Amino acid sequence: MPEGGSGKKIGCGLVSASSAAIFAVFLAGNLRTQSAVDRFAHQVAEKRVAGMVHRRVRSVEEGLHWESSGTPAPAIAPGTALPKENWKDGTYTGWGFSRHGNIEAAVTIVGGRIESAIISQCRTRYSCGVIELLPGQVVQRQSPDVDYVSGATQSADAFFEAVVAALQKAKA
Amino acid sequence: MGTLVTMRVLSAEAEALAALDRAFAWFREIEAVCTRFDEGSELRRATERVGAALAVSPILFETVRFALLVAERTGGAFDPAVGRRMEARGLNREYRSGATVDSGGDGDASYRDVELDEEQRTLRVHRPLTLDLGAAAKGLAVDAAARELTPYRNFAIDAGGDLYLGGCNDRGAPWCVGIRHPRREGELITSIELSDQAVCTSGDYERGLAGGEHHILDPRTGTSPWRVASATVVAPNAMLADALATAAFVLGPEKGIELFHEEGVEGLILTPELEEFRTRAFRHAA
Repeated sequence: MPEGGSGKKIGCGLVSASSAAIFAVFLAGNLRTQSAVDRFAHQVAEKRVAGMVHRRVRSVEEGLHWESSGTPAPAIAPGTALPKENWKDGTYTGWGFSRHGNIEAAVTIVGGRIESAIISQCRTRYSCGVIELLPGQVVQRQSPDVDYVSGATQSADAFFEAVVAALQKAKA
Repeated sequence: MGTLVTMRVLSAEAEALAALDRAFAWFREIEAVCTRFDEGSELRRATERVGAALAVSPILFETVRFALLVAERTGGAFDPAVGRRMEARGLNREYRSGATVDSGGDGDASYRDVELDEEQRTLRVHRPLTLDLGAAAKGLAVDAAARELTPYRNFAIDAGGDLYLGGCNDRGAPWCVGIRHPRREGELITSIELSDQAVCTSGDYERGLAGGEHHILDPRTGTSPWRVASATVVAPNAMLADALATAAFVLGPEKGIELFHEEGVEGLILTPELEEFRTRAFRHAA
């Protein structure tokens, strides 16, 4: 799934930015229904999403080409204590969207921890094999903050969105 | 928005009805935030104090941010700050009550006078202006609604020219969408087949004004462009499709198609003489 020549994202600029904007709005809308107890977790999640949107918008403006790298740094102020996420046991599904098609993730919580995060429906034009390492990262990191994947940014972002959406339901 | 919204979900599940309710709720919420016709809307309240940076909701922040991005990308051909000139043109009638709107903006403002702060999530205008988020907000509402309905796979959302089609129709085939003929009322110029995509058509026949002009202005000149009668964009989401169709209208057929190619969307542009300009992969339905 080529994303274009070196140093420049060709043909994905506004698609990526619009997709990230819609995700941010949809997620914020759903976060709003949570109780005051979760307000801090709400802010953390919003900043994480804002960071992701910011990365995608910046990539449009600067024509950056994202390489596979370590965990993207969460956009949280230094010194902020991360609240312990409280997830209820069960299996939850969520959708992520990309220009190549949509991905559904199914996340299973056991004993309050992420036991697995699989791709339950792959409706992308291209095989989801290209992001096969990401489900394992979710379990390893106990978080949806998966790596970017060079050449498969759209699918990786869609999987991230899907896991975030699923984890939201686990908190409700 | 003055738009009739129709949604159809092909599902027998009881939860699909609740999903439809949530999908419609997105339209009401996004319009309440983004309308320029209600001085109590968040958009109006956020733009009435020139120079002040005001905290805004995610809906408003993301919609304005995307509109500004498209404005930069198209060199101002698409410009959300063109609202004041639309009022001067007579496009200042709130569609339900008929009350006219005069929001005191400056006729020469542009998108460059709107500033967003990513860290603080604030909006600041540097001179009096009116923001018109019609295109981006309507598309966003369609996309948020589509996300509510996605688990049910097969559905159609029609918000008066902005559509999102999910999955297949009741015959198990991609949804077939007709594109209105820009000159012959009640006729289609062509149809296209879509699945999990958005389509938006902008036409010069919408809300025609006196003097043979239409409602889309070239923000750079304040006049109505005349080289495009209808612009259709097929894209992964409606917010993008609507913005690019609107921009292409102003850019003209050649630059419009070039923009579509550069952004990786498909499109069809018709001139008033019904000459067709198409992106390479744009296909008419059989």
